[in-house]
Amino acid sequence: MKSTGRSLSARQVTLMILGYGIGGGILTLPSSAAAIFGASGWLAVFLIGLIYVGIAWVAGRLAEKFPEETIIEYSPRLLGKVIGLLFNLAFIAHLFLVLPVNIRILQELANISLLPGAPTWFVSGTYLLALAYGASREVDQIAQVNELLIEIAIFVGLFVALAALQHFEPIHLLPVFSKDQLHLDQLEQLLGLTFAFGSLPVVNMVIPYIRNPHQTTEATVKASFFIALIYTFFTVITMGVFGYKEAIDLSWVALELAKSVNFRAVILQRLDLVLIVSWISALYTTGLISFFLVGLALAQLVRVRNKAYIIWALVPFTYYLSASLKNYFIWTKWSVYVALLALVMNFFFYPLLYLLSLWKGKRHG
Amino acid sequence: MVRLVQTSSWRKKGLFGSLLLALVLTTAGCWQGRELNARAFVTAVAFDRPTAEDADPDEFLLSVQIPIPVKMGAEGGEGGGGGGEHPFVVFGTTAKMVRIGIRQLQRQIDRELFFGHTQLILINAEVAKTIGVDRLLDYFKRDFRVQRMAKIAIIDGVAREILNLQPPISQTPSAYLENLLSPQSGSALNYITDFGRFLVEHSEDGTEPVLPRLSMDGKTVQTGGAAVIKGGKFTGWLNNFETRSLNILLNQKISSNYVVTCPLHPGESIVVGVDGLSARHRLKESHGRTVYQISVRGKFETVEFSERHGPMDVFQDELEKVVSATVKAELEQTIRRAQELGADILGVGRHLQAFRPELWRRMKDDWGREFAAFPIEVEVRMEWAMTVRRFGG
Amino acid sequence: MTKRNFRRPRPVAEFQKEKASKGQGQAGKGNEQAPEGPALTSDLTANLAYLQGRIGPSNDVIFRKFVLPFPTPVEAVLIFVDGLVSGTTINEYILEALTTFDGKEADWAKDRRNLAEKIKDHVLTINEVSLESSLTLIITAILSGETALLIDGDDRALICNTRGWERRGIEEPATEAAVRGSRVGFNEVLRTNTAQVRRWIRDPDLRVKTMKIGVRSQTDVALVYLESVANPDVVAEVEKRLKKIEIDGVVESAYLQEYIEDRPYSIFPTVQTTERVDRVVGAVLEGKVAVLVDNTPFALIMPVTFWQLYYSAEDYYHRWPLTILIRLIRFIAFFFSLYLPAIFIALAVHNPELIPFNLAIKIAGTREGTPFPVFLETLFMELAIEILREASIRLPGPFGQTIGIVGGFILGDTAVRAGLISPIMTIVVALTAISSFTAPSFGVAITMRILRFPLMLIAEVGGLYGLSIATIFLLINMAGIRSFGVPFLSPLVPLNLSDLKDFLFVAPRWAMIERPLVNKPLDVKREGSKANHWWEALFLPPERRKGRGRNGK
Repeated sequence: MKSTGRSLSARQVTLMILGYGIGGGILTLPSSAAAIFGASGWLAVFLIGLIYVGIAWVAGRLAEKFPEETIIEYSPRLLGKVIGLLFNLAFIAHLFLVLPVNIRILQELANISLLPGAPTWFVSGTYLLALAYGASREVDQIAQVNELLIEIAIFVGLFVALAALQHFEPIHLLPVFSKDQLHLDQLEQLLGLTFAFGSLPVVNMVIPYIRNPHQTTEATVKASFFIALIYTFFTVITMGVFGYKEAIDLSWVALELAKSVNFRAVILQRLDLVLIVSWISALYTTGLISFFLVGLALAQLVRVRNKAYIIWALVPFTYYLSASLKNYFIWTKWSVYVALLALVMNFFFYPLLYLLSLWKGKRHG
Repeated sequence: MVRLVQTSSWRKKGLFGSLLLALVLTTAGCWQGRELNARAFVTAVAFDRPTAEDADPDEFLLSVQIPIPVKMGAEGGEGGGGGGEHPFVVFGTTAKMVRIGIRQLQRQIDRELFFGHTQLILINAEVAKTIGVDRLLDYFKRDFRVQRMAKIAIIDGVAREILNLQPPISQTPSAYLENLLSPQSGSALNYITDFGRFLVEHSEDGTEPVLPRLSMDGKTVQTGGAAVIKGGKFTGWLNNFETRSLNILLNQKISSNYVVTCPLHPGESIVVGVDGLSARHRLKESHGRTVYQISVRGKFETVEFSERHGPMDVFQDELEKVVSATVKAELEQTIRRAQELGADILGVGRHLQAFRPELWRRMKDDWGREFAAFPIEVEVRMEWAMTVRRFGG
Repeated sequence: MTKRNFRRPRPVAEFQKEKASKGQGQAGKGNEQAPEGPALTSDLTANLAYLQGRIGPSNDVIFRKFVLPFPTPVEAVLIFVDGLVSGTTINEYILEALTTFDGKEADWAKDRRNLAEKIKDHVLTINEVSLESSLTLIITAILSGETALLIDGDDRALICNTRGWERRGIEEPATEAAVRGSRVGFNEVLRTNTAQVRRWIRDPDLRVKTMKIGVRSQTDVALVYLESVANPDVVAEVEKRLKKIEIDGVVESAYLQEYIEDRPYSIFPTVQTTERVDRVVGAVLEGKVAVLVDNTPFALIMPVTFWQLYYSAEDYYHRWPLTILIRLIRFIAFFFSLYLPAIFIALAVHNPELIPFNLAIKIAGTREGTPFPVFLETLFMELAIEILREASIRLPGPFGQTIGIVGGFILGDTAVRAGLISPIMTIVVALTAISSFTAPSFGVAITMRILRFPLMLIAEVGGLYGLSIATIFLLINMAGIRSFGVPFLSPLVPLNLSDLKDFLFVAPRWAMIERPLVNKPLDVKREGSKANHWWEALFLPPERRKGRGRNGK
């Protein structure tokens, strides 16, 4: 498995975390932020982002403790065999369950705009094939593809956001945490919001491939900070342009942003489809890395040499799951469960594992 | 090495398999793909009262304008059957729901009605009042293909007639009207907005949207004036000068001309060109009350004198005062009109919400009435830019 | 050929460490295996009989017997192939020297042992002479234009370099014309070609390693590289791959290319071909390895990245602002040549709302009444263009132009007038065709031409969504390719800031102080620069540097 050796640079790891984190979430994130926090949703997004930067530090430190192993390999040692196995299964599940949601989001995007009327099996099927094809490659190849795609996606996204500044009205961002706009009881939305941030498992899985393992923490923290910044920026722009009320009503806020950009002089009449096209690549990086990590983790768990077998074997199952998420409401509900699992991973298991590793390290040393 | 070879051949098979599958998938069918020529591009939509006298008040007459590609194509001039005929057709039907109306229209048209290029939505004032603008636009805000940049106008008259009009210069009325309604028309009496802005202003608490007014005068269409929409329904017109003032108050980047009386020679008038206007909105406390204050700054230039004109260096201060007062009077007239209508087109509520949430909480339930009584101050200071070309007579 | 195990050259630091620990550990190089086959005996008749049997039946092989006028006359035979040798050389410097040499009475002449070596040392006035005892090698030498001198009683033959055959002059390469730059291309003679490279680079470190490949053709192949610059791992890998080739004959360098490429199944070429000398020289100076093959003017350069396939030699001869513009235009043209018809189909069939209204209605107007759907129309036109292109290549020069005119004007124009195709389609197809001609490398242009057709089909079925997925597939594929250890998409991914100065934007020459790092050169810094970083050099043009330039006098 480690035939490629340590080939990832710190930059590539940062971008892999970004690529895994930034995906469908950003299209809906401003909407859920507005639903819970009202006009000050952008600030909430930033604060949540900062919390995740803290967790990123923990995850990075944890990974650095075991530079030769993935979390799948050392968790049984830290937690004991049985709990370790259970943890591993949950860990893999929370990686894997991202996939059906991811496929579903793409399906929605393609169907509302690019290919109205195309059957589900065509869009999901080709996308899933592309995911499996990509995920069964070597890690450096995945890192390269991710690097290119996520850069394009972020670049186009920022361009659209900046172009939309012409409609920006700062007054839409106020008031700050006014209590009649807060709807903290919408727990599902809140969980869905955190779903967009969970991108840390990447670092605990790819550390054996990083060229300089001691840069891991820095790369992880940097990546989470970038994610927080990008999310905040997007939320600020969308809320500033639409106001929070309209933002709640729109299902794909970021796309509406592109639709309202007046860009007459260019060859293309509208920017929204361009944004979708580039955003497919952002979605793809999320799915790709998630699928790759699942393959890698499962291969290590069941001690199969070649993860490609596992990945291709998972394809029908994944397709079945994604097809069972019939509509927007079902898959948002689904993503809430995934988000819950991710929350437990991030805020309970990562600190726990880190503390255990410190404790065991002290006992041995 | 051996292992590598095996995996690679395995991968080859996987790749080959997926390629084969992809090929099967692609050859399996082409869905919903429609040639350009199988679509009827709807460039403009109009809503009117049904022509029948005893029509249901919930019904409206939906008209769509469709350009004829051959007549607009590259060789349209020579081949298209020259002269007289319009390069477009207008279809209409009566319906209660927009989508149902579209389905009914589809029965007469051999091509799929396509709203991706719809640039213009015209709504008759009466329909806008009874049925409501938001109701009529509901379908369009849910259709992904409709642009947020589409223009909406309220028609003082029959909207369908405008669609049938052959414009003087541009090829289709939709292009013509779209230009009229966009900033390039350069008229200050014209309120510039679009579908996206309407949706934002409509959804927000504490602000009401305004849409431009179009009127038919015999064979020509004119801009000027605006329609105030309250709660999604048309409530009243702003006249030309009120619209101009609204543009100034909402920072719409206009330049316009005012006629003022000469401060030195009573009875004589001076035309000034006003430009570089900016309005600042803020809430301030005065005498224990919250007052909404709008301060307007701008520059003007004397562009025409009626008969006599005084020595310029003398009357600068006077002239600035006179111009400021003229502009201020007009702005105040607009604010009065808005308060009369009880429609917060200035976004006062928005400011309250952002900066005085506790006050807003008290007022928001009956904001229409509260707004009518809310103290609003306008302060105007115009400066003479003095980029004159000619000093003497 | 199976997939290569060679992923990347070792980093230079590692290499130097190894060198230091091993000391002078280059002993392994000399032990090349002795060739199989019979050896020469000291009996001339037996030798002759063997050679007559092997190559005698061919009429162009000449056996010239004569007697060496030694104190005791010795029989000798000259064997050469008529037409491959220079007659004057044989007549004047071998035959005449051997039959009329003075010093017959010299001491060395009296002893008949080791006669061949003595003749080489004392008599022959030929510059390149060697001793050979393996009959197989002697035959190969004869067949490559050398002359074998067999002397009775000696079991070694003298191989004299008498090569001289009809050759094409050095001309400007037709496939890679340039406005500025040398007008010199390679020709079909390996020696001339290596000599040309040598004329450009007078560095003692320039290595020209020759080997013979092809069991029957025994073609000379030369590896050209700078020993102190090129990464030894890459050189060794190239050599290893070349040596592993087992093939009947090498007719053109393409035969080798297919054997040594990293991804033989990929549609992307991972080896660059060129017939320009300056291109090879430039590549060698950057630490790459060139392979020159006899009988073809096309040299192979490796490793190569995808982008480099789109660089032209001329890029480096213009001033840098112009080069930036040229590169930009070429990349846009590359994008057009690959995607334009596909995007047109995708927009026209699935997403017409993306086309501005005025354009959309014009397109619809011109397409009104045309008999074919957009996809078929594009496909027909693209096929027609491909046929035209193929036809004009096959026809001799003036006719080629005629085909262009007939095809382009008459066919296109009449088809439009007859209403069979729409004018917009001719514009799209013509723009695509013209764009594809901007690719400086024929190999990569072909790849784009091949890819265009599946992309058109995908666009018809999947619209822009299909195109994005197809592009992702392509990118994954390309990211997996390595050309002799160099990632195919570098320096873009993995990002290499230093190398980006010769990418889309080209830094001024004095700022390019480092050789491309992707090649992992031994000697990173180009000679002559005083700056440590390229940005330092960028703001410190030569005339501002101390002790240089104008105040030098």
